[in-house]
Amino acid sequence: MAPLFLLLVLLLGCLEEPALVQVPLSSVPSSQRVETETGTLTLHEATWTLSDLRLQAPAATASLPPWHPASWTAVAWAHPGHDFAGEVWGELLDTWTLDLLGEPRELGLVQVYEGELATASLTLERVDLQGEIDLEGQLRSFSLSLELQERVEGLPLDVDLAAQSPGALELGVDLAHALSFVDWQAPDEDEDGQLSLSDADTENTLRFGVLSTPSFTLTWER
Amino acid sequence: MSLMMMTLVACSGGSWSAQIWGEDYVEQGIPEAVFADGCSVSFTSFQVSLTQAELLDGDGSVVASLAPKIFELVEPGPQEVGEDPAPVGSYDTTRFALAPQDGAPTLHAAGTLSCGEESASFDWRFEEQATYLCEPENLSVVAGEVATTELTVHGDHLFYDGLEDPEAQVRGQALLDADADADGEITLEELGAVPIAPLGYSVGQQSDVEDLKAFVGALTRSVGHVDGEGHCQMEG
Repeated sequence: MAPLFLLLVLLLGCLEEPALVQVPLSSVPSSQRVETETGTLTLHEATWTLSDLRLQAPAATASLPPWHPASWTAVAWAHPGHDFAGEVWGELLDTWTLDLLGEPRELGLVQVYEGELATASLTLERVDLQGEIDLEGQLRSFSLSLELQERVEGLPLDVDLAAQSPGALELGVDLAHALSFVDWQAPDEDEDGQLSLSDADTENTLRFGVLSTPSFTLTWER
Repeated sequence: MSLMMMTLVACSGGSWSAQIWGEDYVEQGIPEAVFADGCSVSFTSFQVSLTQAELLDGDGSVVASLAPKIFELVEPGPQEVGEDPAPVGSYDTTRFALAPQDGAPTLHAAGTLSCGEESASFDWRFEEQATYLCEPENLSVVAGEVATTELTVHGDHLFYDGLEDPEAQVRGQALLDADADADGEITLEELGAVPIAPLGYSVGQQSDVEDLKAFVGALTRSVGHVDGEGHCQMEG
């Protein structure tokens, strides 16, 4: 019995929890001018409300030890809504209303375990955009506000985090991608003199773009 | 357990068999009540190409394997995939793969989509591949008996309006509207000309999916389930 007990103690020692690291998270601003296929956008307001950043370990089961709780669950399910990323390895739970045209901003400290990170996810709560687009010399103004409360999954993040190698995370928004699906020449159906959500498919196309994974960038800076 | 006992158990195996079934939705059609926009579908063909059907042990080793085959799921099922000897024991993983073989696509779906007074036929062939790791409940191979797993194919998934949204609904109108030349047939080329963004459909992480052809193609990878409603993990 004694050798078995010693073996168990040794095995439990192997399962020691990895170290918890605090990583600063900040936002980086976007450009006020955005080139689209139909013209150049000049933004007067770009305010996005985001919340609850989570960092995930790689989804591939082979990269996790078999005893790890994520080794079985960390793959996609063959059903909508069951596309799991890897195990959550770090998070910063808060809400931030970001002026994308403003200055860089400190968002807080992400609590994250040492180890390999592959993806991140966050919630996009609201988007407010105002500005104008130059359509071959003709200026058309737009005012677009969307309530969302939707989770955006799968932001790529290739980091092997070690407590001894300090760094920081920078969160940005790629407005060129996010706004690339909107038809800026859509007819002014509500006759309010500007492009708004109720014009043609603008609500759908804006929603599609702002929730698209490549609309967000999360980079590791040493 | 003594060595003699272990040898006895290993030598007196049973069998593992698999069935495949498209359920009523494929055999009889998907009724209006299932669609959020009042459409309905009947299939004249729902052919799937099964290239892998395996039973795995706890180490991930294949202990039973069935021959690849193409199945026409509008035929009454469940249909037999095959049977293979397997060691006695409890199992929690089966692996199925759907992929093109012998000139046949992964999935061939043909039929008629109706929304109100309008209807159009479709005849779609998809090459997208998927390998499913499924977790059947209470799968035990007993000496001298056959333990069976069912690969259940959910035909309604081709009409979901979200690739990763758990609240995705079954819709048909956007597919019917894709019949640009109004000739009564919705072709894959016509689906490919319809951008997803204006439709209100969601793609989740699959941001490279930007048109209806790619969207339905991505949905074909979600049709595989186990023993009815049991979910499978997609490998790779």
